[in-house]
Amino acid sequence: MFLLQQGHGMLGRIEQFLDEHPHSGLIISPRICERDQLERYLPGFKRVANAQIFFDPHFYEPRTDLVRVLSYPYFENYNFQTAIFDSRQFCEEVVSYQVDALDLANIILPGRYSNAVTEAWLEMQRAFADVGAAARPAKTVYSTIALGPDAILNVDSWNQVLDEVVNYPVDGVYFVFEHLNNSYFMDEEFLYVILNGLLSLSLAGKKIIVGYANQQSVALAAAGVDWFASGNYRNVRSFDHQNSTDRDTEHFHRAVWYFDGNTFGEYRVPALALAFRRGLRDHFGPETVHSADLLRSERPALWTEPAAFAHYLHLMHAYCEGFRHAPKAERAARAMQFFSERQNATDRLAEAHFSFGDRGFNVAVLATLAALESFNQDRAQDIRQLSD
Amino acid sequence: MQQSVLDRLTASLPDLNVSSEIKRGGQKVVFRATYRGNVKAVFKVVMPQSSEERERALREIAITSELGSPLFARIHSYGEFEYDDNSVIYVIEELIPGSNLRDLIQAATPGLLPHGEARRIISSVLNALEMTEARNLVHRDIKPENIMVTEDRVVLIDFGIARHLDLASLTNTWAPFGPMTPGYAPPEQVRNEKRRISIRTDFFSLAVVTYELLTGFNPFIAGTRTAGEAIQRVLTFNPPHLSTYGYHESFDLFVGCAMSKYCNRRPANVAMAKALFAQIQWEA
Ligand SMILES: Nc1ncnc2c1ncn2[C@@H]1O[C@H](COP(=O)(O)OP(=O)(O)O)[C@@H](O)[C@H]1O
Ligand SMILES: [Mg+2]
Repeated sequence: MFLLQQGHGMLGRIEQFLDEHPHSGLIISPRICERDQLERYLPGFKRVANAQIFFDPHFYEPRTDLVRVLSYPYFENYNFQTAIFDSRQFCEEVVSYQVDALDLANIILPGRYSNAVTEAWLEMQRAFADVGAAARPAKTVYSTIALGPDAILNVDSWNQVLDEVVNYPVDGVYFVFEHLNNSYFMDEEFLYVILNGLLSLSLAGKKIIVGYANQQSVALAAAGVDWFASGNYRNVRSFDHQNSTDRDTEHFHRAVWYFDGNTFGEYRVPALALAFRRGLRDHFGPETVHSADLLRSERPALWTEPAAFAHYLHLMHAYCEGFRHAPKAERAARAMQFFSERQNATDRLAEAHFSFGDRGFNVAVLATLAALESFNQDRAQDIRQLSD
Repeated sequence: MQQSVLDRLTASLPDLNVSSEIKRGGQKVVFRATYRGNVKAVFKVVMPQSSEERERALREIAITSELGSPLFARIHSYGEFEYDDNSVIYVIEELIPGSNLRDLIQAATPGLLPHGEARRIISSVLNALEMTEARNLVHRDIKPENIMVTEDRVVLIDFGIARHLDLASLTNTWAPFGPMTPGYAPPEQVRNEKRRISIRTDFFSLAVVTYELLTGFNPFIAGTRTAGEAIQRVLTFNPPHLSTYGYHESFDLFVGCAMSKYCNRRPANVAMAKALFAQIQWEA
């Protein structure tokens, strides 16, 4: 259920994570490492039993000029200056790289980012799916669907996409989407619309990977999502198609944050110290091996970035596992329950006048619940039909 | 279709004895016939409009002929008859000794079949679709005219034959929108969105048939005067729930879902359609 989707410079920590977290896996992106680097690390990842390994071909923005991405062989013959683009051949090369060079069991097909669905885009996506499904029948093949908020919020365009994707001859869908107004969390309408769409894909028998997920994204488990991919920095916890063209240095949030599983907010250590001094220590948790020292100290002070990352990923993995253990048809109810617990914890902290700061989930917990509640209400019949 | 072609074709089929004509359309003729002496049969001759249509028709007939289920008309023989620079496809199939559902609806007083019949008919068509689904076939023209009913059988016909060829003669305005029957064909078929055609296309049409069996009218056709109007309604009009006609809400689960304008909202496969159908509370 949980896939690591790391940012730049994190390759070295992946193997250990996979070892320590069963039923997990990873999506490697060309954005984070050059080809030879990836191919050097890959045997180590493959050594881990049962780890699911995916490769994201990163075709979101074809005019990308990012050197790392272009170091991959399927971009060799790809000329983005010309209008003539042979989508079939390109797709074949993407598949060939994943199978012949990387020897992966899962294939992710290329998918172009779109915020305005056009016939040309739909046609190209379908061509990719046809080529990919035919190329290697023995592999598990995923189509990439990368969309912006306008394309998703427009009823017709979103349904057009879904009407076609349910018929793709592929095993699954790798779904990445940009949030509305660049916000980190989704509002209730947006979340509701995505839940409905992903439910259609699940019912059509597609496995679903939600890429660039954050803690709120696990609400999408309600729609039968199989995998959530997330990583350390904020730019791998919500999708940004521009990421492929600029800002590949990711060290723009130097402050170290503590992710609180109870309330789903992230808090800075001084905020935590103040809360502890006010006797609110018991509100924070749950504790992980990585956060035990922090949560048990009289005055929280020492909190390092590696610990913060490991703690976040450990909890995300645990939450995803929690959903995996429930039958798909029961996950919507479970998600309601899960986020109600977050809301209750949030309420208790709010009553104590805790200041949630810039990264509090208090701004989104009610929206999350509202979306889930409407989804449960409106789609109860369909949710019941989800099978594992 | 030229009589001389038909004459040459029947002359080439010594096992066949054509009797009366059942239906004649622009590109298709259906006859009553006998086959190999005394086997009652139906003889269908189709003139494909394109090589693509020809290939699809032949492929689908080949698959249908192997279905071997009482839910379909047994195919005795089929083939292609070439003449001059042209060709026609013919099928000799089992005569189903009953009426088509359109005739049954029209004969019923007061215009409605008993619920038990409606239930038997729709669930049989679902069974038929289960078999076609497994072979990746889409019927694309489910409507009362293509459902034959006898005392103990319900048979889905007009399968694997170039169908819906009559539209061009109905109205030229809509011809570019692809082959279909107005009022039964869902939006994706009306718009000729080929990538969106699937078993869900058949579910929509079957939901319309269900609606019609229960209310006595096709909600997309009733009150319209042209095929174009019916098509427009399919695209934009949401028929009133069956509960407004006094039916239990459970009827709307199946019909409402299968009649969704967006095919991603319809049942994904026959098993799901059946699960919804099974929830209908017929007695209430
Ligand atoms: N096998 C059959 N047994 C009995 N009647 C049939 C059979 N096939 C067709 N018919 C009758 O002929 C009509 C037209 O046949 P069909 O194959 O549906 O042709 P079309 O493509 O013109 O609709 C049907 O509506 C039905 O009444
Ligand atoms: Mg017919």
